[in-house]
Amino acid sequence: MFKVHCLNNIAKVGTDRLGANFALTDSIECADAIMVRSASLHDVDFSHNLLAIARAGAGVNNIPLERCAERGIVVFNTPGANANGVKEMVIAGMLLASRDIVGGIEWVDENSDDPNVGKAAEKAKKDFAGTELAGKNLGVIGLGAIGAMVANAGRSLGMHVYGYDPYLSVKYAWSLDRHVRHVNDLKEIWANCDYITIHVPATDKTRGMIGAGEIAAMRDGVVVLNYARDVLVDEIAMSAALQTGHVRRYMTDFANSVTTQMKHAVVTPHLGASTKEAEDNCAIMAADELRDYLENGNITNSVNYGTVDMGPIEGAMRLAAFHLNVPNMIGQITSAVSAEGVNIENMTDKSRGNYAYCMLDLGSEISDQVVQRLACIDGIYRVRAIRK
Amino acid sequence: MYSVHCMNNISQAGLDALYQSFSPAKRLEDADAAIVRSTNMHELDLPKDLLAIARAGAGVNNIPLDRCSSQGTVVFNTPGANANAVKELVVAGMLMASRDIIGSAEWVGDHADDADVAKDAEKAKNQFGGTEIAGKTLGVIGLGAIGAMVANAGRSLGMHVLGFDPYLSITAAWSLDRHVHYVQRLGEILENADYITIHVPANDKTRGMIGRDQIAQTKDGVVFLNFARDMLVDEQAMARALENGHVRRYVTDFANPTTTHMKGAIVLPHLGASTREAEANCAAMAVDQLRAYLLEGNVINSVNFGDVDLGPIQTDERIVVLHKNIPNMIGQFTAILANSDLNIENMANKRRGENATTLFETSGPWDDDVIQRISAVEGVYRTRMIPGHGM
Repeated sequence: MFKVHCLNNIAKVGTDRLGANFALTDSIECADAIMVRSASLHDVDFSHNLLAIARAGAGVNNIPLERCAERGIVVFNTPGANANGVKEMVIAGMLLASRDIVGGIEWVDENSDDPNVGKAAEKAKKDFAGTELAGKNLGVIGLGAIGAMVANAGRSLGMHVYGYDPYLSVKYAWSLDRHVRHVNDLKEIWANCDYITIHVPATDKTRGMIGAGEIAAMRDGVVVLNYARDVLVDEIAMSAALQTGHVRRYMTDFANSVTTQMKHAVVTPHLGASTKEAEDNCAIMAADELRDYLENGNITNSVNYGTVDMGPIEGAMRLAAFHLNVPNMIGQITSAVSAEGVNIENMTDKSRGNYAYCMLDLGSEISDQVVQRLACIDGIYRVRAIRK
Repeated sequence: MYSVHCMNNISQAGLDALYQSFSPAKRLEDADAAIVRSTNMHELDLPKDLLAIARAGAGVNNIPLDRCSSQGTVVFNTPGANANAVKELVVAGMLMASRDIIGSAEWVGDHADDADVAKDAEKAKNQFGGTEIAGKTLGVIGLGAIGAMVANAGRSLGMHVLGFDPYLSITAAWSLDRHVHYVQRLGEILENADYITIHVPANDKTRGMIGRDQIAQTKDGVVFLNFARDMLVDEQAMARALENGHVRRYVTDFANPTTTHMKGAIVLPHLGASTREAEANCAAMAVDQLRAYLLEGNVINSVNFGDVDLGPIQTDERIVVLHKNIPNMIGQFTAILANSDLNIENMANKRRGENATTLFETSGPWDDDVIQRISAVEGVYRTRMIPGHGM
């Protein structure tokens, strides 16, 4: 029986999928696994029985990844689960940027007691008029789960779509509308697009990737949308460009002391994934990932270990070892198993940075002492014996 | 050269096109035709010689149609010119109804000077969260130019779409995504849809078509969108359904004393067609239609006479007759032409409601009395001869 502790509210549709081998626990110390949304784990001491942390969501800034990796704690996230939630927000963002719908609604509110509000509206409405999306050029930076959906939505709303992603995966390339134009240079996006939306992770490479120089290269009257991470955009430079009118609107989901003071920005309080469906999807994915890892040792969508999927356990038992990504680790593991006269039926080893994960299906059982001995090998920091 | 009076500002592109073919008339009294957007013409004296009024837009509530018909003034509108503009606003409306984006942007505005706004936003955002439109059922009432585009947009955003339109045209049917489920009863939309949007003209049959009984048939938590005309919805009944939570949101483009005081309504100041592109499209269509009618007698997108289009004039002259749609009119016209030794080369007749348009292309020696004789027929409003370009 595995014990799972939920640090935030996790949708029941998710926890229900854990199955009969699982029970929820109020004690974080006793837990084999933690499910979390936004609560910070940086100051939490992990007990030595903790095997995994599943983040119901995409960003893992709240989890100490390195510390987890060193201890053989697998951290999962749920990329794509909130993709449609964000996509719909981006569409709303483009539409709200094109016509001053927000201003129009405020005007009605301010004039709600005018008995002739309908007539007055006909005169006032030209202040809120704008343009359409159809026929305009949309640039999508980053074509992962979210970016690919946004690109396709742009196409279906009649836009010309430019997509940029140097790391485009086959999966998302496959899902893209074939009229999305794949460009290899961001300059093409800056020079051609009326709307630019950014969907890349926040890393040292992407931080500030939309800076003063990039903004200057954009078309006059461009609309920039940021529903990814605030650090991707140099917001001081953006403020200046909004002030001069070079950027028509900055639509951002990140309220901070810079964005809230911007002229012509529409700032929402991080609503991108705030839909019931996204929360349900995240909880379902997180639960499925945890279950497959705890029951079968398979790793899908981990952010600190590589992907390993050997399906359900075949053979007598499955052995999983977390080890440093250095030479001769696999040799030592396999010789220790062979020394017991046990046959290895299937085996996979996957590294990610400094860490690696090795999984073996064995033809017959090995004793707990042998498992202990394996765990004592220098460079191995955890060994799990998983039985059906 | 015909002269045209612009009652409202139209786009520069429209004006340029207009004055390529026509001269400007400063006053309506001096004009052969008028272009209008929203000016109310009900109280105006219409000159007897006014041949046409082109409304740059779809709704013609601001034009006295009966008076125009009986004096032989053809009224045009520009259906479809603003369709994409309205469609995009409907999509925005569905998204705003699903998540409280507006409320959340206001919250940020109210907390602009909060140094911890980012942290506080993470706590506050729960109250603005909502649902997605993908996977939900959208009901579209009326599948004209706008409704068909809205239905297709719903499909491409991952919605299940039900369409209802007892008068579905071939053009609209052709343009519809084949996964739009065409229903025979309005009830099917009311019972099944999570979002219901209405795109029908306002007339005596459609007034109040969404009333208390219709609202009662809808799902709990339904969202209604009205970017067509306010009178289509019984707004008192809607206010009550919003009050008791049966209707989640009413998104309407019509501000009036009822809608502005509704709980849970999102009210816009008639922005549906307020885009540069829609205005340019409307003006361009209105000018094209005036040109076709004044220069060739072809009637395209009229709301009070039948549409007829014989293309460019191919004979010595074309005769345009606007008349009541009653028996034996064409028989009388053709007898008059025969008595004047004019041969009918081409002819077209189309009715619309109580009125009809008839075009004749004739050849033979012209006699000005023909116009007077046709005009004298009981039920004829106006007769006009346009010389062929060869003459």
